[in-house]
Amino acid sequence: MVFNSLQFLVFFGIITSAYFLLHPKFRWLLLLLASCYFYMAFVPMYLGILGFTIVIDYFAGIYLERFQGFQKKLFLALSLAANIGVLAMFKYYHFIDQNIVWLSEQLGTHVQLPVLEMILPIGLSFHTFQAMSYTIEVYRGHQKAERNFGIYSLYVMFYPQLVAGPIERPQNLLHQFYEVHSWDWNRVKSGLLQMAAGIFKKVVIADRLALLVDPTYEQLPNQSSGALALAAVFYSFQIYCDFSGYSDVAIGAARVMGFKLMDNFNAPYFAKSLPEFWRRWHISLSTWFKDYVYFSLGGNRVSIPKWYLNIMVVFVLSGIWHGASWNFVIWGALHGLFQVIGLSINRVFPGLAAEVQRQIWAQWAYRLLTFILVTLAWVFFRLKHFTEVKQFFQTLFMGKSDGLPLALNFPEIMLSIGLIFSLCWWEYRQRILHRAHTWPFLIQFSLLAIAIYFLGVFSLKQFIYFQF
Amino acid sequence: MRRLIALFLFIFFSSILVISSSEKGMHWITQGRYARNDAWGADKYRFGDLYGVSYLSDFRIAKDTHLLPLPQKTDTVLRDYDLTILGDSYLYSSFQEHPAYFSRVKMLQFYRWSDSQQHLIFAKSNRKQVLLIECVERNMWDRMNLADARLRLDVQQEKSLPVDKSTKQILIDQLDRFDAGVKKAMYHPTLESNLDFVLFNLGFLGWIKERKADFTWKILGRTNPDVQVSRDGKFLYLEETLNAQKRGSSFRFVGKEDVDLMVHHLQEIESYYLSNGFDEVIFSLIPNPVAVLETEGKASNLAIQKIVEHPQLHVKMVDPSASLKQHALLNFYSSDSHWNLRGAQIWLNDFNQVLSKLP
Repeated sequence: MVFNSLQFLVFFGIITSAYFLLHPKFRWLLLLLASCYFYMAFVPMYLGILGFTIVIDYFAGIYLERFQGFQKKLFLALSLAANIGVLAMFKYYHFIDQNIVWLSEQLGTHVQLPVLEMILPIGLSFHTFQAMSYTIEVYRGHQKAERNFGIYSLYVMFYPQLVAGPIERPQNLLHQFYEVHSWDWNRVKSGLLQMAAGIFKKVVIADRLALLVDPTYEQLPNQSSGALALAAVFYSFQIYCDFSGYSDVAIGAARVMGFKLMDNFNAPYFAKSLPEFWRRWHISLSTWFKDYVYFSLGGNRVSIPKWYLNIMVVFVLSGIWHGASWNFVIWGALHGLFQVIGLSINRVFPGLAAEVQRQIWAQWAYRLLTFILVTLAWVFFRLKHFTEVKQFFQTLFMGKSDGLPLALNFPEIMLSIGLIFSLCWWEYRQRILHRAHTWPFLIQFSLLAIAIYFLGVFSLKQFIYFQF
Repeated sequence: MRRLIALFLFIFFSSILVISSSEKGMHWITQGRYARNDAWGADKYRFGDLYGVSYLSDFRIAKDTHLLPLPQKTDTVLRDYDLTILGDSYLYSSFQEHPAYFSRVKMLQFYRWSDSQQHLIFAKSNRKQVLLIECVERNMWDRMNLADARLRLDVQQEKSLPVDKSTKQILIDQLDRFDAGVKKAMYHPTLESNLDFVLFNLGFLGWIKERKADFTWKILGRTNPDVQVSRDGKFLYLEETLNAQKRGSSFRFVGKEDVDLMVHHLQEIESYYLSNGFDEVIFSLIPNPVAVLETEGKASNLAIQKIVEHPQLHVKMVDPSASLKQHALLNFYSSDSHWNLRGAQIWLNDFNQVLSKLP
């Protein structure tokens, strides 16, 4: 059940209205059942895998609170091992197997893991990370262990953010399931507007850009350099609108019911540096790695080489989190490398960046440079094989002028560019779709609905981040 | 007030879900909407099925809502055959389920490719049994084989033989079956399209849909991805019949191996049904409209012709291609994937000629 489907529209209407009709005491149960129904729409069997990690982490939380010292560490290790084990089993097994086979063949032998036929459960990386953040926070004493099994299950399974985040922290979300949320018109209006904006980003912008990006990337040998450059830029905005659109619907849907989820994006393509980009892009994941991995490794309070190593480790792990494939590892490593190079330059020329960034033109130059680096890195994210990546960059930089015609006609390319500029302008001016009064809300909501209908590309295309 | 609004929304959305999730509910709403010709009636198939997919205003046609008229005086004709048809919408959208259309036929049974498996029970009669297996070109590569034919129409009701499976495989199969069972019980397989029908398939919304479709076509040069406008702009075709990469296309390269295999399948199907109670088996392969109308300025793959002319093909075949090509423009709707009544009559004449020559 994807957010851009009629099934979700009806599901959301039923669950939200039932939520406000029910006595507050039973609302968590409604949300839990609804979340099960929502998740089982993909593959019902997935619920068993989710149930396994929920049971482990629920009891781990209670025992973590009960014990101290070595036993406490042991329970944390067991909980983390169970979560990472599930991830490794379902997401990384084939990847590990492929690499063992390759490595053994280089050594003149053949070793292979037993063949297992498994499908990656939808959103596994997201809810596993959310579950891990719970046990870590209980271990650190920042969060009390949740005794109500149903509420804990709901924390992991809350349907708006179950399959693609935002990856919540227990301190932010758990207590909200105990609060009584009454119908608040202002909150409902702003939630609905954010949902509509998310759908707009997905079906009007992301799915339109995909009409050019997908065929271009699928027929790399026959493309011109210009077509590849355009596809690369379009892909940057496609993935942004796709993922941030999903986050907007998730946050908006939760807000209508009175829940506040953390923000996941903040105009990332206006970042003036790579570190700033990562403070604006997929914020819930970036902060997860910062809180639980980077700081645990010592962060920047270590020697310079160790600091750089910490950065590389975090970004390589972030790449692996996205997918069990070398292209994601390289994508993560590239981002790490860009940051290390940036930090090294700053060390050699201290104060240069601060001096230059005082100039408006320099700020825009930094933004442009950051966008170009991010866009080039996305190529590794989009293309799975090195031969394709090599072909892409060879063609891109060789100035090849002849190739297949673009998959979109000129007016639609102009429309797409116009939509991208409108989005950028909107974000640059930091406009927020939030009005307390009814008429502005109705006008904005109606305009969005009309634009979604007339400009939307309705193909029920899955969200890109569902695969993670 | 707020609770009242919540209650109204709950009842509204729940009703929509209940109707869209139930066969009875969908039957009720479909019948009701197609019975009306006003703003509240359904417009999906009324003006051509491809119009209903694309909503391009130029292709909104007044489609003949009648079926082919029954021949009048039929009681003097010798009727010494019972006819069983395994066919698709080319037949059931043009003919009533009535034996009077067909030469020498006394009783008629109709089975659809789109249905799930049914076991044939022969009528108790002394008449000979003839089976017609009809299929449109775009589906023939997938459907015309014995396994698929038996999936829809089987004459043997024997239990399947136990297969030697490992315990692990049995467990996996059981889990898969359980999973599929749960999914079927909880989510209607066509829920999304049912919801689309219930919420938006209303005559008065047609105008809005046309505006969007016209804007997308005339400005952005795109249509619904399932359809394509012909080069001369006069016809709508199913995209899968034009796209040379797709199996059902009339422009896909069809090699000797493909034709040999199809001929083998046809003969296998014939042997199976002849040895299981039928006296005659007749095949009919209906060409895609684009292959007959030839509006694309390029030669089609002549797949049906290659099959019919194959030296090893020894089955009875009704190929209406040549007849349909005469005044071809008159035999098809401009925005429907099927023939019109004239086209259907041409096929019927060809089929009746084959029937009349049976022993």
